[in-house]
Amino acid sequence: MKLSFNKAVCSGCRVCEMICAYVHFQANNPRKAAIRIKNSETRGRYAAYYCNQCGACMEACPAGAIHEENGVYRIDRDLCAGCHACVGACSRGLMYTAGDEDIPVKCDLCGECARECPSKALTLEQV
Amino acid sequence: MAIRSGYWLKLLDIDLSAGKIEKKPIPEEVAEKMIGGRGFVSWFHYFNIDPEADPLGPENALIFATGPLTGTLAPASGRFVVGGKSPLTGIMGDANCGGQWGPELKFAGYDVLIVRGRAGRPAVIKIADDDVEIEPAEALWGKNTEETEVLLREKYNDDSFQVACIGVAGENLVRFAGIVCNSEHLAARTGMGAVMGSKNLKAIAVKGTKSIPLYDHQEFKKLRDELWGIVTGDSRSGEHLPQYGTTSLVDLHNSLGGLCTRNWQGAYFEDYRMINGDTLNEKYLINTTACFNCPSRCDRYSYVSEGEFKGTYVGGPEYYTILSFGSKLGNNNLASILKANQLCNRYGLDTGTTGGMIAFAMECYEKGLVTKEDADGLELNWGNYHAVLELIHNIADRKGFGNILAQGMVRAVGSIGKGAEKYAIHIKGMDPPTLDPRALKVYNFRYAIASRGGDHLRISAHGAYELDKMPVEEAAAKLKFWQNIVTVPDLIGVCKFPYTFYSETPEVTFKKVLDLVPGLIRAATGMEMNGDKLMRASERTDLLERSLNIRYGLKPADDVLPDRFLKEPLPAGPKKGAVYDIFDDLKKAYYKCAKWDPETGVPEEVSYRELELGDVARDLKKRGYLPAGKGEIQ
Repeated sequence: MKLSFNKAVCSGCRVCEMICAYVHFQANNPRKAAIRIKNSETRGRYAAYYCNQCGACMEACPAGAIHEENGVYRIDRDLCAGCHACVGACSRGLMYTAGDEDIPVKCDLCGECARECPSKALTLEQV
Repeated sequence: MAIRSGYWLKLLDIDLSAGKIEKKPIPEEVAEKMIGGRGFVSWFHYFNIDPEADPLGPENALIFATGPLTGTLAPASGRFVVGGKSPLTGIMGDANCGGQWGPELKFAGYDVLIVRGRAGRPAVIKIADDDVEIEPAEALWGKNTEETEVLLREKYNDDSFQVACIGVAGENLVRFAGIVCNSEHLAARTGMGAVMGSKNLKAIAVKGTKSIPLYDHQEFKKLRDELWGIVTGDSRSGEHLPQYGTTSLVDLHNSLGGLCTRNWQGAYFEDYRMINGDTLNEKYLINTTACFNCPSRCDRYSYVSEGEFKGTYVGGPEYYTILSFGSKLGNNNLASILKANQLCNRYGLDTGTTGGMIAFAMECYEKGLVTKEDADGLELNWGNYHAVLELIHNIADRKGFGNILAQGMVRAVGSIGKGAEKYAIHIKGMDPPTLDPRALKVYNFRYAIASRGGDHLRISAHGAYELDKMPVEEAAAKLKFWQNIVTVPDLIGVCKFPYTFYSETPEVTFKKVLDLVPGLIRAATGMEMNGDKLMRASERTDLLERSLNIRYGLKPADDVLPDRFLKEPLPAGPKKGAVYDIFDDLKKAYYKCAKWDPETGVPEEVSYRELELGDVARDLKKRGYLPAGKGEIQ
């Protein structure tokens, strides 16, 4: 599975952020989302920042709390000690930390953002 | 049931004169009565601003308010309202704004922000959750709104700050300057940017990281999903808005024979196709953009790739901007309209009133009241877009003839004299937007009675075309009913478009506003809510706004339409020959329906009792607007 982003049609509404935070934390709070939409360097266009499942976080985790399953790296919330070694290890800064959550926020390719995306800028593809 | 969530019930009260920052509770009963948004703004306005206040003095206050659904998963939850005493009209003013700023204030833990006083030097308010600071901002003074946002984010080294700021127009106290969010969303009307400028406040930068708690998140999500499905599945809110935004109104207004043309001298613009949504989409549109959490994506992003205005990027345009710089000025050059839009966004100007002021100037020029010399050498002929762009610069900079226009309609008439009032198309000091009342009569009576002056957003109705066929009493009641419906989004912190204007049928709107919205409020806050209570809250807000205006000295003679509409027949188009010939009858019927005294314009005391605004009635009695010693409220 792969989450793809089409920059040409994203409208910057941030529904993806809102639904991601809700699905994972039942929270109304885009800071708890594993995806972020920001202005891109091209005017009138947006950029999406989310994990590309490279696995560097798993390598860095001293607690063995991150494991891979069909190409998706997941955090085991029971094992995670909240040390944030993975946050430092992510070269693209895509292990997010959020407010009152000790455990980092990471994309698990659940696809809810793609399902909700009104402009179909996000799509979940089989690879 | 008590309010448990949805709101923070927290008010951030900042006095810039004293450098004092206070966090205060919002009483639960205020939230229950006024709901939020416009309701909060009118409430805090009534009890915090002295009626004698100079709108540009430190005694005026700037009140920002979100609603219980702002920043939630509910569709189009990106709105806030900002209000105070208007420097344009001298009565109550407010403006509604989308983008990302309102939700961010909510995420920072506040429902309402009140800014009072005047900073001794240019200032920025920085809000990062609980940390609130007043910072010096000399380096930002004189910067445009885009630069201001970029510089603040650079300074804080954090692009998650959302910025509401003024441009040069607000700094220079142009009386129709707006407040700009995300460099392209404007709280445009009634001059709130000038109020901000008068406080030496350049910007309010907000970052919030808190989760908005919900009383019953599962119920909320269920209702939200149903509403989301309706909005995205509706051909109006789900297809038409993303495709055209509001630009299709260019064609609609023209086909109705109501497209304001050359300062309302006509209502049919022969070149409308050159400035309509299809032309925009074909030649200039590069993306459809959206406010926070909105599936309707009605914002436009445009780029001019060739010709004189090559290189112009702009977040926009709305139909309101297209017509204000297009047909209203006899201008068929869409690229120049985009340029005008860009300048207004950067300077922080209301595109509507800016266009309205220039239209007035052009007619004064046509009729010989303003000469080329008066206008600093500009030839203000219809369609001369070079002069239009020059005037926008001069208005923002308050230079020469631009300085006269920067005062707004009433004061500009005073400066020009020579009978210029004949061409000053305004109600209570604010110009109406772009649909000619002669073409749709009952519907556009809304301009005459809107609480913030010539305004089209206080009332919108399904079946607007049918209203002219009804007896006036019935039509007036319908207007009042729709007024209550379309006030709801303003109270709860969402956008009117997907909730009300843009539904396939009135039944869809009722389902959304009177059924799903009350459910969402219940699930968000734990507060008892139903459609009737919401409609009463709308009525209460209107009563409070009317009361503010009564206290500001408003009289029935101010609830008018300009003589042009009442006396001059439309010269061409589908409604050729039409004049507004139902005004007196309709006004009488509307006053009766609203329970306003025909002699004084003051609401009857019974409304204050029914709508539980006893404190307001007592204040009006004390001030002599309501008869003392009579009635139940003492």
